[in-house]
Amino acid sequence: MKAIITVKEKEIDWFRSLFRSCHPLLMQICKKPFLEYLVDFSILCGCSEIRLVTDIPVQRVEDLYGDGSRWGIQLSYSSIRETDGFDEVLEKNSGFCRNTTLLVFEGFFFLHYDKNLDYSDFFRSLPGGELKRCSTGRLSIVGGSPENRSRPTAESPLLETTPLSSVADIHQLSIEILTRNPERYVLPGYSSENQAFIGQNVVIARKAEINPPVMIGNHVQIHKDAVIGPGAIIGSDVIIDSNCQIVNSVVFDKTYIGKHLDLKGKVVGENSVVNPIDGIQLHLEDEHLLSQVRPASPRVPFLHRLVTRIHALLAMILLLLPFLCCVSILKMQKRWMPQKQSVLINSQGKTRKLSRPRIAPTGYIGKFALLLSLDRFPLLSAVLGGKLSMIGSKILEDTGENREKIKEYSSYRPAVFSYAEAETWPDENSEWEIVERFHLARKSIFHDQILLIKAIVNRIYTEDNP
Amino acid sequence: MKLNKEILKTRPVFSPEGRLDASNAGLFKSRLNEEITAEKEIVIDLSRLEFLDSSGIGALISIHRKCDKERGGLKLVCQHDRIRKVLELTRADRLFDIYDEAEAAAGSFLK
Repeated sequence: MKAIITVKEKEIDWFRSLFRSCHPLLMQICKKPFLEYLVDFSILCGCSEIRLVTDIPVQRVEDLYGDGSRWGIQLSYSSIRETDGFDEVLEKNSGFCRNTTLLVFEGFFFLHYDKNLDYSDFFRSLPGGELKRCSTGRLSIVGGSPENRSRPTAESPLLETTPLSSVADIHQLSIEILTRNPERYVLPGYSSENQAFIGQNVVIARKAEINPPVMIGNHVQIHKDAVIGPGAIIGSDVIIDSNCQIVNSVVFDKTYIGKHLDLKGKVVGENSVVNPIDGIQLHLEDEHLLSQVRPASPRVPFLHRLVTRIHALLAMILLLLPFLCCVSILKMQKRWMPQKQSVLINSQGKTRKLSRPRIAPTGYIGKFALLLSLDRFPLLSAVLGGKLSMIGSKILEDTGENREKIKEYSSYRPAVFSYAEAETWPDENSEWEIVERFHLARKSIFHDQILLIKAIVNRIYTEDNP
Repeated sequence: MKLNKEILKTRPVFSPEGRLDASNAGLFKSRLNEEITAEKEIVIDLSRLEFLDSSGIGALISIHRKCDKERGGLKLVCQHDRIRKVLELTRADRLFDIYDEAEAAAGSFLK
């Protein structure tokens, strides 16, 4: 028996809009990622191979779970398109689905089960078809043995679904599992007393108060006079400062909760507090009150940065004289069109005003200026200041659409020349993103040098330089 | 790079073998573009490919566009994680219909 787990991006949009840094498939319910519940259940049903089929990028999931050997199963991944229906999913994975009974999870929903029950006999006795349905998904069997149609099915063990369509669902579900039936699932953490699950490396101040039921993740600091619980689920890498009160609430991973903050019946993550009852989200700008504990962002190696700056300096020295001569002539000819733009300089949405002039590609001087890429000359100072690279992503203007785009584009690294120019990719339909993502994943000093040269050469040979 | 061709369910299935990169992406593209004039619905099986770079993806996108323009279709077959990861990393997987079997990909045109 095999299982297919299929989730589409549109089904988890509501979650992404609230908590961007958390992968929806790794969204935690009682400190256990959503996907692991489905995997555990599939194993209880006797599945030895599971395929995750989705249009969401799964690199983070793959980095965490790999080929599924941690569970003793084979976990594989497959892409679908947003418009694909159930039949297309099966057709695109026909090699995986062949000659076997399939357990299919479709959508974003939670399945209540009991780890102490054996589901394999029950599922083997089913003839196929839909088994459970809720407003956000369904569980079905495909290719069940036809002989089973005439046979009575084994007695149905516990099996219920809960739709996951709002923060209220996550909150209610998490608190319900913690307070009523934690024994049904394999939950993380050490439990020395009933309803108190404590992770590794948890530091609790002597004057802090812990009232079960509680669940506390790994690497958590709880400072003096903080009151945790009843009904508190604290993620990993969380700092709870003194005099806080967290009752009936869920705190996501990597969160700092400042002094004297009282959270009752809330879901907290990044720098937001969400009231599950009305769904109202409050962004707190004061990082001393509530903020995300961020790991240090990966920096471009020192040597790489140094080489980039040396290139910028050399380019400035070489092009200064032609720039001064050409610009003054082009300005007189009104072929130099100065333009100041507010642009996004990193994926966190930081902006900077940059001069991005345009040159009319007419006349000898205009063509010569474009040949030397003099329209990019004003950007070189930003490279020296460490705000831009010499080669990298296309510079995006600070617009609402682009701000949304870079939230999904963590490797965004704006530069004087783009990888798309080096590869002469069309500047349309966001296809330039494909080549940028490819090269950003492989960036190195040598790799960037070659592409920088290619980009400059391509501009020389492009008939109508942009 | 070696390019094999076979017919499955009346549709041509092209299987590039080896590397599809800057050195041969242009040749691959022009060869396939020629085929599209005769056959508008094609399958490219990437299962025998060892390496795919941005130029290779560019070639696939260009072929995909041409198929769309000719009101045909392009389906990809990808069985190996290595190539699938490249398509996913670049988000090119959103543009293509990707199957795990050539027969299913060719058969999908019949529906």
